[in-house]
Amino acid sequence: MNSLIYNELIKTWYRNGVKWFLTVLIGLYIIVAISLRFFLNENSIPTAGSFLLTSQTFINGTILLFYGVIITTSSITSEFHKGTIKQLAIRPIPRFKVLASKLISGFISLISLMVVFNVIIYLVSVLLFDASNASESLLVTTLTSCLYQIPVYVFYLALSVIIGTLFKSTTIAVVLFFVIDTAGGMITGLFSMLEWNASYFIYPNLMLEVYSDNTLISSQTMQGMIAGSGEGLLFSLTIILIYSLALGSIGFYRFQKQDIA
Amino acid sequence: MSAKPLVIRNLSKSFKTKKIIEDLSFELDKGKIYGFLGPNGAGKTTTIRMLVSLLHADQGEITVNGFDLNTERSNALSRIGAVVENPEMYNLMSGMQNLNHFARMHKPKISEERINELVEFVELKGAIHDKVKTYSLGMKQRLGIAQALLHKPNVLILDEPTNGLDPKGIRQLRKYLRTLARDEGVTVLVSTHLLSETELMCDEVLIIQDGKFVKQFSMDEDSSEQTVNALFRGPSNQELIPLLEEFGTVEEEEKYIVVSGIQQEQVPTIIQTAAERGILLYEVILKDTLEDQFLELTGGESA
Repeated sequence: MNSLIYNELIKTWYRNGVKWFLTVLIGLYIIVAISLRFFLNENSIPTAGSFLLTSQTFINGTILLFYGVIITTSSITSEFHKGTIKQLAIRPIPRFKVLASKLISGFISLISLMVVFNVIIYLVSVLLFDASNASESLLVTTLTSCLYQIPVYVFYLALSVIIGTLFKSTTIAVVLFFVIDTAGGMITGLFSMLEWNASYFIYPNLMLEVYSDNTLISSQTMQGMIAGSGEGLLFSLTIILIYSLALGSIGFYRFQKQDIA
Repeated sequence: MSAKPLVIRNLSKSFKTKKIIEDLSFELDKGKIYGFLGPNGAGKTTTIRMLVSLLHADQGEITVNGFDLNTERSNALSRIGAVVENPEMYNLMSGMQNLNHFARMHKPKISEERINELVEFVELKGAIHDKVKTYSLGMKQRLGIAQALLHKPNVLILDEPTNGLDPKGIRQLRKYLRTLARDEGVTVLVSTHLLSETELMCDEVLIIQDGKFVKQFSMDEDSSEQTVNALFRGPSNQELIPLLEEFGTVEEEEKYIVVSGIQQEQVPTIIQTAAERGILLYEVILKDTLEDQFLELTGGESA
């Protein structure tokens, strides 16, 4: 299994241009941070805490998530499009292991990128911006915020597996990602307008930060429209787990049974 | 005696309501090269895909060295190497990275020596560290054969391996397959539509049509007893006709007199008799016999 995951990581590196992704995103991030620090009016320069959390929301919550969905979906779809799936499926390895290696490798890639970026985010925040009045430890805040993100990644990767195996299209995965990300809020809003219980809908349960008593993290979520499902952390984690397992199982079942033509 | 390298029993497969393969059975012996022939749409590719577990058969049994592909999938597949259709590789990675990638999918571990040995065997040593996207089709085909042989399979299955190869590439391929079959006892199943190529490359021929088994026969044993069409041409064809009519049915075809369905060993006798009677000959041609047999067996559709 380890060698299968290793194979997938190597292919991801070449296929998804990870090198360029890292270079461009880190470069842009540092340029933006320096511009904010040195070209903004003295009074509008954000504090280290606020810059840190804004960066995390944007990078962990949108950019990396989006990239992770692309990595995982394309690790399935590109094999079908290029025909290399045949070379994988004729090996003496059960098909579910082939798919599992893709899912796990997607997760490892995403977490590794998260580690790299959050080290940079943390360093840029404390080195460039004023951290003297922070209400919480910025290091702990960085870590906590990352932890809240991980279950969300699990859900989106399970979603990538089902889209990859069912539709064999990275485009659909990308579209669905934006639909859930933007329409999710609207649908939750609609639910509450109609006075329906939206707790079992996946979207509000993905806002795990609302359960944090870290003042920096919760102040960040207050700016958002959605207040989460409000049923408690364990409830939301369970909902995420159930959705992920359900989506993942369908994807694995389909991959195991399908004829590869 | 150990089990046969590949045995297929009563295989059937339908797509929706259309039967693609119907009750197909055949078996292959160790160390022989088999040509797998059939008209377009006969079900060659479908059969091959079932042999390597890409498609699930509706009915029937496939065993590889006695291992059932359905119930002992890993054991069966670790004895098969295959290139199905085009040799698709990871284009952004080098040839060597591709080989290492596929080597990691086998147990026990495939040694570095084995990989290097194969790189030499398919004559890719100079280009093995270049990206596959820079390879010609012939090079990709050779890399495909190398990856199919990594785990020393007992059965090598190639689907249309001569597609897109130039004459030199085809000759190389023939050489590899001969070496594998003769020296390592690998059983090779090659689907192709080039009949002349099959004659040169294969020991035996398997013909299917409409998903059903038609005939299996050896290329060698037939060489003396095989019936052939012989084309004769001389200064005076009219003089030839009475002589040739003594041996078989005679037909005039352009500048030739064709005697069809005679035994190959009769041909020298005909030439000798002609000489004795003072009948002159410019040339005698023995026609592509596999093609005739093939067309006869499959009712005239080309492969």
